[in-house]
Amino acid sequence: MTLISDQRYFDGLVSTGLWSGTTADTIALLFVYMPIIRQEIYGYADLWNAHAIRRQAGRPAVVPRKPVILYFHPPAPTADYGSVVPDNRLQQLLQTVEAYEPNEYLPTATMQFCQNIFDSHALELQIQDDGGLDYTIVIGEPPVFLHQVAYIFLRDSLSQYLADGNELPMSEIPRGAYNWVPPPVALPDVDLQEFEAGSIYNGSDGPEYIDWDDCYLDGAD
Amino acid sequence: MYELIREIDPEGVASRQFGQQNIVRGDYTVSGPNRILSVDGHHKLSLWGFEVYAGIDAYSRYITWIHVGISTRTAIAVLRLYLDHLKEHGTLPYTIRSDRGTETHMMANAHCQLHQELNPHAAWNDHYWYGTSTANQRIESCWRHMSKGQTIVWKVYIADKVYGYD
Repeated sequence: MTLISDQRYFDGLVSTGLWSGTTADTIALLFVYMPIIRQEIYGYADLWNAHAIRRQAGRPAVVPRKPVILYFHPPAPTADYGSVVPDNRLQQLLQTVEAYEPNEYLPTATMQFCQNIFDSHALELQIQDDGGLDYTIVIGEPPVFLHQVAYIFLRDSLSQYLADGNELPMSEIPRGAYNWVPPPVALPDVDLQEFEAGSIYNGSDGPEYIDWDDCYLDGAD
Repeated sequence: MYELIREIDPEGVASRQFGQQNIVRGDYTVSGPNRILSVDGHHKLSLWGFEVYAGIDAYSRYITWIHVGISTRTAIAVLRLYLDHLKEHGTLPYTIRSDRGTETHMMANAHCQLHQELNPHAAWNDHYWYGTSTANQRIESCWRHMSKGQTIVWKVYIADKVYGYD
């Protein structure tokens, strides 16, 4: 099974010309793969916390047992060195960065735009009722991972849309440290109607169906 | 350029290939949980926009927080992630250990301010240790396992199913 959070998978996208860092590539990659990578890496962390660390030859200081048990219930007489967080001070500190949203990776308007493209091709992409993609599904003949088809299809749609002179907003990176200027609280209204997926194909030669020949990575497993 | 180096130093190149580095880890003793929180980012996927940041307890190796986002190389993001973690867990670790990256200084400052709230005489170098990232071995070893294709998933699976190991 191909693991998505493995660097080699993305190296494959680069070497086959499926990713070159354009805006369309970046948006499509974040939209399709961020939920998958989060799921894989958070799942990895849970497994790590629950796995047993074994005694190792030549390393007497290694404490065997599961991390989660050692952390919450260390064997006596080991002391816990943590202190209770002073809540007032924590709240004050949090206020300085509350305008930053760590979980955002694409602005709402761009997310919605991508979702609309997927929704209008839900049958071909076999999207589930909750709007999610089961990335392990293999479709087509010869078989290819669904996430790969979805990525390439979305990328082509987006590059067509952007090439027509349209723009899609990207999330801002909070640069500047202590001089960071938080984004304005009231975001300008975005007319989501304008982003209806169907509209981008009207009168253009954009992709209207999935071209299977575009969806294979040579030598990918 | 790469070709050139490969010609001049074939053994050097081979030794750095994926999975060929054998890191000798020192044996170090930590006295208990929340004594040292080791934090660092994982940037193997950063080229494509996926940045991973995590904190691991050096005694138990428990991953206390882990985050995948697009901006964990900024001080604001790391500060917010650390404060969110404190808010959720309510436990302030004694010392944080990190490398000298530009993304860590606001977190370091906040961590020390919180300690000074508890103890006005708290000393900065008791509560924050900077070191090179290669010495930050608890978290580096965790990243290494992860980039080796999640071998741990299979280790756990086999241990559970085959050996009935709990």
